[in-house]
Amino acid sequence: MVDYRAFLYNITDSILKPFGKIDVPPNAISCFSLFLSVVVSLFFTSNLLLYGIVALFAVLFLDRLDGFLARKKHLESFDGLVVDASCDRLSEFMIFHPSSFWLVLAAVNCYVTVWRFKNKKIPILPLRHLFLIIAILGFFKLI
Amino acid sequence: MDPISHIAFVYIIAIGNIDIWSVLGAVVLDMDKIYAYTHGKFRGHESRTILHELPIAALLVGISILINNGFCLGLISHYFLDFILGESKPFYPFFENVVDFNLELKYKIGIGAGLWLTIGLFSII
Repeated sequence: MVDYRAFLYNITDSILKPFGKIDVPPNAISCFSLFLSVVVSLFFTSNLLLYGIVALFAVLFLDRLDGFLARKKHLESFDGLVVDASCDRLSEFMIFHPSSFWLVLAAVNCYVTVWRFKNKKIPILPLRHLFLIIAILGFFKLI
Repeated sequence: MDPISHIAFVYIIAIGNIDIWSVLGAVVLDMDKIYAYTHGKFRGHESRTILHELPIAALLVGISILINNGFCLGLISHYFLDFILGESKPFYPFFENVVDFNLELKYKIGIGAGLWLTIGLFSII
């Protein structure tokens, strides 16, 4: 059976390779991406869709980067995973706060995350990625 | 974080459009300090109860959507600020792992002062 997760990691790792020498702790990057979520939220609340999309892309990029750096520097641990997952869930709450529908999904995702920690086969809902796609489609007036 | 900073933060992320529900949402969670302090727990994650952790946060945010959007935003802003500036066990009671970004006190004071100054500037403008 094809290991899609390993396949995805290979692709993202090759893209992020130039950033491998950055000397910043992965947890600091997670924290910074959380701060950036406030900026995303402010842009979307102010109807500055393009800026919101760019900032959300930066948040998702940083989210990938912290995992990449942790793997590269052999700092992977369950504690690190908890930091990363909790930052992601709070980031979702912050970004989705104007929308009740997305907030409910973010709340459900918290429990999915707990479930995933117990069973690695459970996939976490990629809500911010979906939101980014919908925002891009909305920006180009395709939906 | 102190209640004024929590109110200032929700004021900023709501771009000034707050009501009494947002203020209530931003401060109500700290009621658990009454329990913690009366039980002699003053520091870090010990001073917080399960109300401050993500699984209960998710539940409260889900319920608060039905009550009021502003109240929900207040709760989210509270969790956000406390998570970044303090020590927490985000997935308690399922997992006991403690998360602490170890921000130096001067930065915490700086963030608090920044929030107070921003709300001050907002009120002047």
